[in-house]
Amino acid sequence: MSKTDCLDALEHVIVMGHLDADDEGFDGMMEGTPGALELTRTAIEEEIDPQNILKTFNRAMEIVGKKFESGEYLLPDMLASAECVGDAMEILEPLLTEGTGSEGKGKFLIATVKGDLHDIGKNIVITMLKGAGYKVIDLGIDVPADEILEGIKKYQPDFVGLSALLTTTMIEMEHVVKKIREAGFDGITICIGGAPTSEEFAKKIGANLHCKDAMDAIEKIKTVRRNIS
Amino acid sequence: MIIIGERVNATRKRIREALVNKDRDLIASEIAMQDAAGAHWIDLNAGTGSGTTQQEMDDICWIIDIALSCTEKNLVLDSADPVILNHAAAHVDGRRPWMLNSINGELTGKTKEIIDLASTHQVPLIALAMDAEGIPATTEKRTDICMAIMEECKSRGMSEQQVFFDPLVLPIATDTKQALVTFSTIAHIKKHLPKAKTTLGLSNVSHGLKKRSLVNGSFLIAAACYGLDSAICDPTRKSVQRALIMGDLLSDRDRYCRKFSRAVRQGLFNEG
Ligand code: B12
Repeated sequence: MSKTDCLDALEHVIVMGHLDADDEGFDGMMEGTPGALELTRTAIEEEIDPQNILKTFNRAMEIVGKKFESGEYLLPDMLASAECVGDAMEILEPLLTEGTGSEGKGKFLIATVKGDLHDIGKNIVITMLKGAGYKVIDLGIDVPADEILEGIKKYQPDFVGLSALLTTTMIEMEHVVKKIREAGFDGITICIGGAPTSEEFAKKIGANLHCKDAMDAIEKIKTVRRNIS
Repeated sequence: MIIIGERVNATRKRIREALVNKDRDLIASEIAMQDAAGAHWIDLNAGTGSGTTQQEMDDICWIIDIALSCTEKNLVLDSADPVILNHAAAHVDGRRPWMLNSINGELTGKTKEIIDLASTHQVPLIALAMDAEGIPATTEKRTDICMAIMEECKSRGMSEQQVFFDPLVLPIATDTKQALVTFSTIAHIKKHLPKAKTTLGLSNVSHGLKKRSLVNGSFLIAAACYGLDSAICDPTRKSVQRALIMGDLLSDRDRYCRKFSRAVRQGLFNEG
């Protein structure tokens, strides 16, 4: 199998929510064929760049979102694909974090804001941050502003990352940023991310950075550290 | 849900006629349509109720040959007579997995012969929760019968998971408690014999009522939620297919609700 074939196959099985060979897949016909877990392992064996595997995850979930929007997919179908990526990430994670462990670049506190349960993107960002040498504190999903504030007081992070995937929950980010600033944590760099967010939105709510994906996050926070020191 | 297709039963007029006329095509189509409808096991019963033992032996072998040639599904050899069952089992001769249907709590010499046949070949066996006095009206009595049957089966070398108990059902038309008696019998069997399976014929529940397929289907859905493992039914009927899908959906047997969603896409739940 060529590398592109392998990634195309991986994309397809994620879209079909086909976790592994035991799973029947969206159409009920896929039992016995390699699923997201097997193909992720194959991709690693083929020495495909982990970043390209990540991009495949992204592409697949994009398609899933469109199928959901069009009504072809229902909520559990979207969930099936999400679980494929979540479990495949566990296989990929060691490759993305290997050779680091210094954790000396700073503390990063991250959360998906209140009302929002999406965490695939956030978890990818976490893996990449760990791989780049940051210490990450993950508060999870559906986290109220007060809890984020408590986390800040407790861990004294250099960065706070907020994730939101819904147009209805991105508004919550504004609320969180306001609270952080009101509490006097002016030195903390606040990064936001998630599909509906944008550069302008970040500016509007007073966040320091908008990151369109995990690589973008790594690049942008690097420059922040340089500015400080 | 494990589906046992019940159509090839000589108590049905068309099957009886096919036996008399040696209408091979009819039997084959009855089997093939259940296979296509998702049956996991095909029940084969050649007991017309009027013929001789020799006639029934010949008939069941004839049906077995048809089944072996037109489906890959497993076979359920269905008779109350150990002579018939022994003969049928020898005829299958390991060419296909099979199970036996059925014994009850009477535990006569015949019953023991059937248990021994199942035990010798280590195949599953369906056991009815009734005895010489008929179907008890209470959960306690039915459960007691099941426990006694299991003891006998174990003493003859069968393991718990090989026994499929049919808790049975009496018509709710004459006693409205009876569906609940069946459900709680399923629950009791699950509790006291956790490895044993349960299976159920449906049609008796609606005897004497109208809209029988609706009643039978609703009964199956509820039974699934009490943990029923298998149904002896006609999987070619839309009402049964709907109930099987709903039963799996509501009893945590449909990962990501996919079977349900597929059935919806295929139009199974459309009106008419
Ligand atoms: C998977 C999924 C789900 C799963 C989530 C499971 C999980 N564990 O995450 C489930 C099934 C639970 C779900 C539920 C819902 N979902 Co949804 N979901 C998606 C889907 C298909 C993929 C999201 C995803 O994982 N993408 C892949 C990751 C890798 O990308 P990402 O999240 O964007 O993250 C990257 C960047 O954005 C960035 N990033 C993200 N966060 C952060 C944070 C920081 C700090 C940084 C630096 C960077 C960063 O980096 C990441 C990595 O590169 C999207 C469709 C889509 N195109 O986004 C819909 C989508 C987001 N969901 C949608 C909807 C409507 C819902 C529901 C309301 C559906 C319903 N009727 O109930 C619920 C809401 C639940 C809730 N309260 O949150 C809509 C939102 C529409 C809108 N305008 O708001 C979408 C867009 C689908 C659609 N097209 O209609 N969903």
